Amino acid sequence: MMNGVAYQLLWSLLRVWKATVRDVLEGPTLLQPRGVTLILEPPEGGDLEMPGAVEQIKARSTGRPWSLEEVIRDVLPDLYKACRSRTTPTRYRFVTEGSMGAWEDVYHSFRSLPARRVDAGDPLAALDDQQEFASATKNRALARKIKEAGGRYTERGILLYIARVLAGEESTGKGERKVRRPVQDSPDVLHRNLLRLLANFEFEGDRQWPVIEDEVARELSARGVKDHALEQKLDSLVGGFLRRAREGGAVVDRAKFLAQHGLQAIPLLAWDLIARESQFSLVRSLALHGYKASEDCRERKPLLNLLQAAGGEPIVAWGESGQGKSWLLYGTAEELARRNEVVLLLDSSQDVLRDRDEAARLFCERIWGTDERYSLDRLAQKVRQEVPEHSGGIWLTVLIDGVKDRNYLATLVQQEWDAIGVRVAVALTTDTNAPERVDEGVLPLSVRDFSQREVLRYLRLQLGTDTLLPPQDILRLLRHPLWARLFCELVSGGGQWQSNNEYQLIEGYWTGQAAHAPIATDALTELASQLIDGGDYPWPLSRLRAIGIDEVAMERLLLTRLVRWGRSGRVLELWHERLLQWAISEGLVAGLRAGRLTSQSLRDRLRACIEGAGGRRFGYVAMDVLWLLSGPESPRDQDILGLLQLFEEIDGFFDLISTLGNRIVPHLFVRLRQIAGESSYSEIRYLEMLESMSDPSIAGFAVDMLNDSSICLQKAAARVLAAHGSTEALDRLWALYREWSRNVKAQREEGLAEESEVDFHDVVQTDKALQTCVRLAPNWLEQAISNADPATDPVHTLIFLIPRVVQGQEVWHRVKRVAFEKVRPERERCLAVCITHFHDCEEVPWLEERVNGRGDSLAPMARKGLYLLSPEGALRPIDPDVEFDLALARSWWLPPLQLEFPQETAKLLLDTIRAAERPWIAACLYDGRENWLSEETLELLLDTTNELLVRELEEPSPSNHEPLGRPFDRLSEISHPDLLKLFWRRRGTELERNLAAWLIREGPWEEMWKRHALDVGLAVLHKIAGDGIFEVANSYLERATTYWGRDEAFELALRASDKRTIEFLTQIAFQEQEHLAGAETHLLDQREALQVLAERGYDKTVIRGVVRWGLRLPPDFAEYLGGRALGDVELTSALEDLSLDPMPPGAILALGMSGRPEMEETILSLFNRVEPASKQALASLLALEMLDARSEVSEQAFLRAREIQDHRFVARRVLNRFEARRATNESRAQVARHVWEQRDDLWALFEENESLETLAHLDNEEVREYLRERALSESAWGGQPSAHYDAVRALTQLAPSRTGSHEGRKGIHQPGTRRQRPCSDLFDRRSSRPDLKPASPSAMAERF
Amino acid sequence: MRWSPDLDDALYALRRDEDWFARESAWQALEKLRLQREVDRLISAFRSETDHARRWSLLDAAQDLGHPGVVDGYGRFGWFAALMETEGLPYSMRKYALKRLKERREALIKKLEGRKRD
Repeated sequence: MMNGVAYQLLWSLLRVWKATVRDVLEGPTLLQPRGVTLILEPPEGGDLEMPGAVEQIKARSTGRPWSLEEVIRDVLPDLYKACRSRTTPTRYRFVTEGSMGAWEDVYHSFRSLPARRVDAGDPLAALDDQQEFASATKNRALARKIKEAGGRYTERGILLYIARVLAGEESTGKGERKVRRPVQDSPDVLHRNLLRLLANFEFEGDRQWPVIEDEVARELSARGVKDHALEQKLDSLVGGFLRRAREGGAVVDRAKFLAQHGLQAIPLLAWDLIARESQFSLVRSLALHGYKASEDCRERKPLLNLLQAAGGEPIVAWGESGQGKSWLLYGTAEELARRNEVVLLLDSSQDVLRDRDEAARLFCERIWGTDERYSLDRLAQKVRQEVPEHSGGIWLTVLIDGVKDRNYLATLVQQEWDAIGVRVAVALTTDTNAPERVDEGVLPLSVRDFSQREVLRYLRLQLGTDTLLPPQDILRLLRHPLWARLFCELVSGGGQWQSNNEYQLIEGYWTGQAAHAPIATDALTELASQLIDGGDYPWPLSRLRAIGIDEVAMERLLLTRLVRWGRSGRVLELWHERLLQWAISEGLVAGLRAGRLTSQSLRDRLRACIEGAGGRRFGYVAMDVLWLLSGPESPRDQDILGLLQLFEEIDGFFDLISTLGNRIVPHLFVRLRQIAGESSYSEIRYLEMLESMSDPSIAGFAVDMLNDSSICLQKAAARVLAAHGSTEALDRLWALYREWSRNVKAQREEGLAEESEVDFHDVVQTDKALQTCVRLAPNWLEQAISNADPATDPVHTLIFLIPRVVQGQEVWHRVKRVAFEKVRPERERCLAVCITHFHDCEEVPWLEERVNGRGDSLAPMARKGLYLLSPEGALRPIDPDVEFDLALARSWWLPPLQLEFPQETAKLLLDTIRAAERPWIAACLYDGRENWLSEETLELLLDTTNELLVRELEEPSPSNHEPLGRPFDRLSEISHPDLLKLFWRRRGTELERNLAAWLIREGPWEEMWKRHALDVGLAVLHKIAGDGIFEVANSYLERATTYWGRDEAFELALRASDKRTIEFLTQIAFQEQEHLAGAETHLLDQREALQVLAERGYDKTVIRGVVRWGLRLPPDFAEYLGGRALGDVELTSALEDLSLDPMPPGAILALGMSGRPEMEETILSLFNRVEPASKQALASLLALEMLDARSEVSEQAFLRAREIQDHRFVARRVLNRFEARRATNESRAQVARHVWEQRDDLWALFEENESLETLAHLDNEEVREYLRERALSESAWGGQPSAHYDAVRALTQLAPSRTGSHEGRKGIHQPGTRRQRPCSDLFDRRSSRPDLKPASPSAMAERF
Repeated sequence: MRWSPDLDDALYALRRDEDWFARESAWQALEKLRLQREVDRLISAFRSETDHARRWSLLDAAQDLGHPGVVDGYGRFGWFAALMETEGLPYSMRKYALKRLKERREALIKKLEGRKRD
């Protein structure tokens, strides 16, 4: 009996859950299930009632089947009672451990009743009374009783029999007992009810106790009950049921019942509900963090894709404070939740283990809903046990915001996230400017500034489309997401913000917000400044109370929108790290102004901020403090100077000073005055800083400094004024210029330059300052020229300034008479410059008189002017005395003349050179522009060179004199095709013979370094391209004793050779002696010789060399054979040596070089015979590669070789080609999409051997904009290898320049052309990794 | 940039420009541009030349005059592409051309990096 009760209770318990799962309705919180009640021992009949069903429950531990008679006798009477009182559709279920006896045909027959039409007047008419059930033979006793009652074992007979049993007219068992409480219904009612009961009767057998117990235990476990507490919990629940079941009709409200027993958790099995609860939890969390998806303009894909692609490594989204890392996490969390993934968002405690615990707590409490505590590992184990679809994969994503300590990452990577099926991404704030590679074991994701498009979108979202956008310089600033937000808050709050720098922006924001609670904010800044010493943050309530922040103050403080409640709602924090640092700065400066801090302690604290002495680094505080101290209302001059001195000593901070803009300028000058003249590094850096800044106030301070009596300060001021002009400086500059140039001249004459305070450089610097300052002062210049004393003043300097001023032309015409009078004859070039600059045709005669003017580079400037004003004058014969001047400044006047009057200019120069005593000296008029030589002039110079050669061969010059060096050097620069033919004409002439003889006499050069004359002499021999080449080569090959001596000979032999050359090369190719380099020997000579022989077609000899040297030959050696198919004759030595043991690897290589595809089979056969890790196997692989073997068998061979240490490189290389051949446009686009998603982590791309160039396969406007941004960026720091160039290349492929554009497009889109390379190159480049050096440099050629 | 008659005309028209800097820049650009025209002639001669030693001298000359570009990939277009597409181009010449292109490009980049803007 007790067993039956226990079974009934256990089953009822199971029903508590089983009934709920299907009945969830979306209530206000979407998750509340419909209120389900169960009734234990319902008074109307049955053991258990639930919505839509009544159950009769009976244990049968023996498992014996239930006969029909037993069911009629023991089950149906109670269920009939339940049935007769119900009119709504209800199922009447018999639940038992036993199975159904042999009466299935009867069961199914009655189950089919609902499909039949029942006559309302005669319900029994629907029942068959003709055909006896087959099971009659197995239920003989029952059949007999039915027969005895006048019926048959048919539907009708059985139903009437049951009716009689229920009415107490039939005994119900062996003891001939009748039912205890016979039914009193009329036969008609009885029959109708019975028909309804049988039609809805369900037999749920084989429900074994242990199975039910397991199911109940699993339900409990899925609701968070720990394993060790299962039994106890089960007992408690059964006990609870028992108490209720003591009275019939006990109603069990499921929700209340579960809550009473701490089982309100969502079962893990219902994972979709878990995911939905995760969504609700996330919505609350995002709202708390102030995240608004509608205002998020950031692209989330990079992080999403990394999360999906990561192989268990945590992802670190890193960047400066305010870059939008938090919102990136928020947006990503929202997207994951939208995809029905379970995601947790938490603020880091800066301790990985605590964060893990917090994640577990949040999951248990907020998502799962259990009061039990589990670790993340145990949770993972539970989920994997309970939820089949998460048995091996990712079930949870944890996004951790606000990590500030890089050491956190070290612990983070030690966690086995992958093993527990948890994905992790953290947002790491780094306030250093230099991006570093984050630690190994994490996937870094750089969170960069907004793109132009993103910031515009953000501003429009925030401010609406009607608001005028700020100017470009401000937009640039606003690409920093924090500032964009601050800007929007200022503008939308009606602020009058106008500045374009970070400090003004944040100060404006802070001041505006603090106005809501000035005193409380001030108290908070003081508290913030104490963080440098390691105080608690976020601030607990007790700490706030201690500084006098009460409820009212707190209320006002919260109005400022500077602060927010922290995680638990019991700590207060500033809403952004950058604001915290500003608060610290405000606190420090207030402390200094109030006398709480001394200047020294301020400096100490700033140093502590920079160095992170208190455990945390506050990198922004130093500059923020400097900004606040230099406020124009009450600047703290001495403290500022102290800080400037401090920053001079700290790397990275000095350069930030200029970011403060104009308010720091006066202090920079004060500091500069202190150190001017020290010639210190700091002085130079201050000067460079002032030069680079653009503030207009700088010029005024520089003028003040220029007026100082100190020469050091004057010099410093002149340098600053050269960058920031001011007309107010002109008088002083001019005075200093005159004085200093006089002094320098005097010193030079007296030889005292080293002892003087000023030198020539200072004069030049002052001249530069004059040039900058005079631009807007034409009147001053005119006056100065008028007042200048030609006897003592450098008037020419003033004349040179005329082209620099606005309205210079008018000035020139007004002062030129005076100028002609005052400028001294040896300084007349300034006049020629003005005549030329202003196209002053009146002065052509003056210029013509000076086409051969001596000194001061007057002649070249006069000819330059004449080219523009009267070209014939520029072509007047050259006086030998001014040849040097004209040659020195040849670029001033020759290029335009040669372009416009080539023949006349050529004649002028030819005449000059021909008339010169030393033509090669006069020929320096062509220096650097040898390709503009006329053919006649070149002939003349070649003849002259031959004469020099003759003289040299007759009587060599001393070793320190190279009279042929200059002619050879100049001749070697000639490449113009018309001039090259003149060299060819010298083939077989005296010049070639003499040159060869001279080179043979002077060479070979046995040293590693080059002798210039010899080197350029050989270049001239190359140009002549005659037999002299192999004559010199033969001589060098014969006489050289070192590799260096033979090196030139090999190059010569490549160009031309005779029989003797081939003999020498053959001999060298097989010599045993090797080139020594350090401790190793190298096959340099043999390689070079064989390469030349291969190129020249001596295949049989080459194959012998290949067999001899084998794998010691360079990987590209086969290319020298030019793809020629070699016959058996050429391959003789290789074929013969294949039978040797051990087989020389070179013999196998030779087969690969044969250019005969049928050799693939032979090589594969050899490969299968040799030891897999042997040199012969490697040679076989290389040979297959040379043959470009593409069969499946070959691919299998390479797949096997991938596992061999020394063979894996060649295997991977060739397998990549197999893969590339199979690649489709879609697969290329897929790679490109991957690159696009990874574009913020260029280092990762670099390591994957991918680059931005691949983006050429994703042609859309967003990609183009990004590439343009990259291509036009001038920053190319080391962390972004080649990004700029890769972007340029990608753009070239997307939109080639006009020239060649059609070819470029064809190259990409037309299959089958050779220019299809841009596509295949993408994959070839993978082979260019250091570990995958291509055997054939033809792949390398694709990147030219 | 490759030579074209339009470009040549445009620059030639600026040779006497009023602006000092414009005409000076035009001279320099025109000189370089016209040499690029000669590169095309050299490549054409190279492709048809049968004498081995002369081919080498033409190859040298083209390499000396041809603009190497400053980014990988520049050689896929223009004169260098034409050179590399020469039928039967011996491997030694191909390798030499690639090496020289790289050297000249590196030298040019170094030169450009040292350039200061006024």
